[in-house]
Amino acid sequence: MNVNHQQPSLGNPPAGLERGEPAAHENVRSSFRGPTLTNVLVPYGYPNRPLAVHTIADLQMGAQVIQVRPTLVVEPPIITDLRALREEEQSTESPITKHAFSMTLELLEYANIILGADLPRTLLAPDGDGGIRIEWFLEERNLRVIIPAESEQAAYVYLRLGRESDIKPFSKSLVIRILRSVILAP
Amino acid sequence: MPETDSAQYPRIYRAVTRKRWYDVTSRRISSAASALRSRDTGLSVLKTVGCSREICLAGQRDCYGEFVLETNRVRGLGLGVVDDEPDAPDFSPNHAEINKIPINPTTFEEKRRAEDLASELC
Repeated sequence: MNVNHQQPSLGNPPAGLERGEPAAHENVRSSFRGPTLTNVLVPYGYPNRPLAVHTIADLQMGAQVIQVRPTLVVEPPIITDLRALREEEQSTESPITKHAFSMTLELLEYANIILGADLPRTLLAPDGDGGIRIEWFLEERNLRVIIPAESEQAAYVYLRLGRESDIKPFSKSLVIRILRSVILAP
Repeated sequence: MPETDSAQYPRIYRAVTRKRWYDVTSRRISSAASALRSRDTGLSVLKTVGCSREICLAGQRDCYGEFVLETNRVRGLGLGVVDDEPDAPDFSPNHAEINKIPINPTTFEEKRRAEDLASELC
């Protein structure tokens, strides 16, 4: 039989009981989670009233407990790859900076929402200074997004078609436009 | 710095120090392999290779292979291929450097030139 108990206020626990290790706190950071089954407090009148119930006091004020159906949210592979890149670079002399990671994450999430399964194979590589290079290829066409390590440095987009090239300041919408017009619909 | 002898070293080798420089699935080389870092004066290359699992001639902790470049083709791009200064403290007879790539480019024109060169070297 397992006995879960809190740390007694006295130094001597009751005979026959051993003190267990406290449970580790889970630090939830990712916005992508696996399937969960969650009991949620909702206010009386839900869903016609705002969902803003957080405490036992809310329950005492008439909130009801409902069961929320689990939904499976799968992280897009390219986001998983970005996290892997950050891990790989963690022990190098120039780890991926927070700025470069979040800017790349924002672009890839945006591209994934807009293009979904049409998003072409994406190559992520460290620039060796803490920044990230994102690239897409199709035959002799190459789209590059250069995300620098720090916010003071400007991100830019480089496009190469055969021997011709062009360079422009970075914007997410520009990247999507080029992906659609050059890489996806040649 | 003395010019690398292209007759003796018709090929030079760029160590693949990041596995993401080469995508096995698409068989594409990332431009990151040919881009200078902020602290670089040129691209480091080897004049000869013959590495084993135990010995990395590039002196890298992690190395995944090497890219092969034609010395004269690199020069044809307007770049230099030079040996180490013999009296430099970190001199290596097997080390050379591709120089004349824009260092820490600031203008779009310089950045474009650096990216064009990275494309040509890949």
